[in-house]
Amino acid sequence: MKIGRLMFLNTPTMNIGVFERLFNENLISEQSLTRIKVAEKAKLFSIHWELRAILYLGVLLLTGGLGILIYKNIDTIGHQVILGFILLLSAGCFYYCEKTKLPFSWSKVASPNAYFDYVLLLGCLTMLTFIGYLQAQYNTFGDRYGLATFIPMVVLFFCAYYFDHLGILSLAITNLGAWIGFAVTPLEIFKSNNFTDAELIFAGLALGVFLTLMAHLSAVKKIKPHFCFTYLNFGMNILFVSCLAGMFYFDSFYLLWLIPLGALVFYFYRKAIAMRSFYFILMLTVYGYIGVSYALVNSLSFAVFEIVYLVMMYFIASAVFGIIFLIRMNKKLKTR
Amino acid sequence: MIAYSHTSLDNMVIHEQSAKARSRQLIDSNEFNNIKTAHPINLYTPNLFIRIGLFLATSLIILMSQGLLMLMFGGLADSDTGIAIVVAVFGIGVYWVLEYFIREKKHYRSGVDDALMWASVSLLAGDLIFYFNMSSLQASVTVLIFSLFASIRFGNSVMAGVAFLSFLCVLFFSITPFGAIAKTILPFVTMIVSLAVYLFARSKRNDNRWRHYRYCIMMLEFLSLVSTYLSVNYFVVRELSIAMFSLPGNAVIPGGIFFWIATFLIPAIYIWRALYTKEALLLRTGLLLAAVAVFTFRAYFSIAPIEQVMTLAGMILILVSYFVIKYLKKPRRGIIDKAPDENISQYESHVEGLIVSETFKPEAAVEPGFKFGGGSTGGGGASGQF
Repeated sequence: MKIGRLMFLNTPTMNIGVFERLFNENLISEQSLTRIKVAEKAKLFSIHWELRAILYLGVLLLTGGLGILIYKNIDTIGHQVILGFILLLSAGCFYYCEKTKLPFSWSKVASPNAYFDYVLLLGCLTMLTFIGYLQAQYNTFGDRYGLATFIPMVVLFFCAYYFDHLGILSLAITNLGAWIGFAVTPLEIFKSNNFTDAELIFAGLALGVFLTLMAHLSAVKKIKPHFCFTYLNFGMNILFVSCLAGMFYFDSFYLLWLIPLGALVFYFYRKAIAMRSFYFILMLTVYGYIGVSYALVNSLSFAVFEIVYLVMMYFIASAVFGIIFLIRMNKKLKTR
Repeated sequence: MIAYSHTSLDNMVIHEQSAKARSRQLIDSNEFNNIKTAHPINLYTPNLFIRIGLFLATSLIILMSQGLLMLMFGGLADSDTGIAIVVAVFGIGVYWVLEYFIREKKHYRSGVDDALMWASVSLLAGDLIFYFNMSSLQASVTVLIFSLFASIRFGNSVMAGVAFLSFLCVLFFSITPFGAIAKTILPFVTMIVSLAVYLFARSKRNDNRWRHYRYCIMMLEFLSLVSTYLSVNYFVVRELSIAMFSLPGNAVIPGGIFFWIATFLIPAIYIWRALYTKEALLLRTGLLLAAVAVFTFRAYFSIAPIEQVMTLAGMILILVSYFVIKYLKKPRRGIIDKAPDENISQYESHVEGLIVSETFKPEAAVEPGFKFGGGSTGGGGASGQF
């Protein structure tokens, strides 16, 4: 019986006991207390996130499944049917989005309904599959492989701005990276990039500068200002990683790389303060710390063993300094 | 019991609750400010990103100090005992620093106390385990003792999770030596014990005396729900049986039907109960385990190639969520599809306002132009809410 009662117990998100105590301390009025009690009783249970997660998973599974399906059946008659299905699906999605979208504006535009974002995502992902298929089967873009990534990128950027979709913007930026041969997603940034290639390092720097510039423009010129963070986030990570890679790669000039690294830290520090972003403070601290520590340890000669003590003491002292810096930053960003 | 100041922790709960009530406009800003001044929080808790940074920096300091100590005293004490003593002394030192930072500097989930807690517990427990060359059972008991102590002392939810997992290990290693029968009843024992832990945690959730451990309780609830399921999941039972009894790979385990039923029934029960009792944690766990059940099925029966299953499953999931979202536009049996409290939608305040105003006449306490925190998601995420 007791176990049964336990399992049927409902869980309020607001603790009535706390408010009764506040009422006894004369901190809230009786009306407020009654209001809280009533609201807690009438509380509705929302399964919003769960449903969105299922919808998102569905879109990912469907587009992923279709993608594999088409490559596996590429030489059979069935693939024409699948291709037709993908094309219809993509066109249908874009048609739906065009029909239901709210009027275009250079500022933030809300989604017209609960499905819009997912339909657009489905449309864009199936379009990518379709273009990939055209290239693989008919060699549509010939050996100009760049074109096969360039066209989806342009379409994605267009969709991101036209329909106002941050997820598509991230996809577009990833495609931009792919177009110049640079993996930009956070997980791939270290794994997939061959940083022993000087060209790639400079390509990364250029891409990072471009994205940071885009962030700046979108904020200043009010061209979809809410896109600023996405651009800046990609730009910052690519810039710092390329800069550190340059330091590790150009063995004889590694000290020179401290100059752009310092400039980056300074620029993003200013940005972080202006945006009151704790995230940027953390990232620039970590990247800057890695750079400075690498330069320092690399410039020491380990001929004498005792130098190891010195290095360890450096790490302890610098980490203490880092703690003090972060605590002060926390205070500064909070109280401003 | 708990190392942090009780009053401040209580006041933290009061702040959380009042902020929730404020965002739903159930108390006015005057009341909210009065509450905050009457119940100050004397704890140092920085922003999450700063906490990560402080955690990394503190870990680096601990690591390097440990290295320095080893360099200095490693030569002096050139035996296992010597090293064990150095590590133990260092671990106790780290723990002392931890208590100092909590007592004097009022650090609470600041990253500094997190790093010091994990370092002292792993240094001391690891030291004992390696020095005495412990068996699996002894090692599990050691980890359980240390993590249980740290959970009670610091109320850390991840530490409570470690304590629960080491408890399950103790159970496993103390049952398996008793032969074939013990191994056969192992799934049921684990299931019953996990269920008991769940019911225990569940009963303490709204218990005021356990308020400082509410995150530990949540972690326990989640993990015990998962282990209740996994202990009778077909895949887990079969693979473990094969490993424990050294069976051939194609062996048929006895009572297979029971485990197949449990594999699919338990997630369904979780989801059904969650919709009935309106518990988000139970619902999410149920959904997660439903996915596990599907993977379990796929592992033994491949009715179709993976891409066909993906396409079909994708279509089904899209259709199901489409119809459920449509169905839940209006609240049904107290369940609705709407953005949660923090991102209050027009609709929610509308519905809530209706219910509230119908019950009694509220005073006009709505502050105009109240803004909700506009946090930005990182790279991913649609223009809506992902």
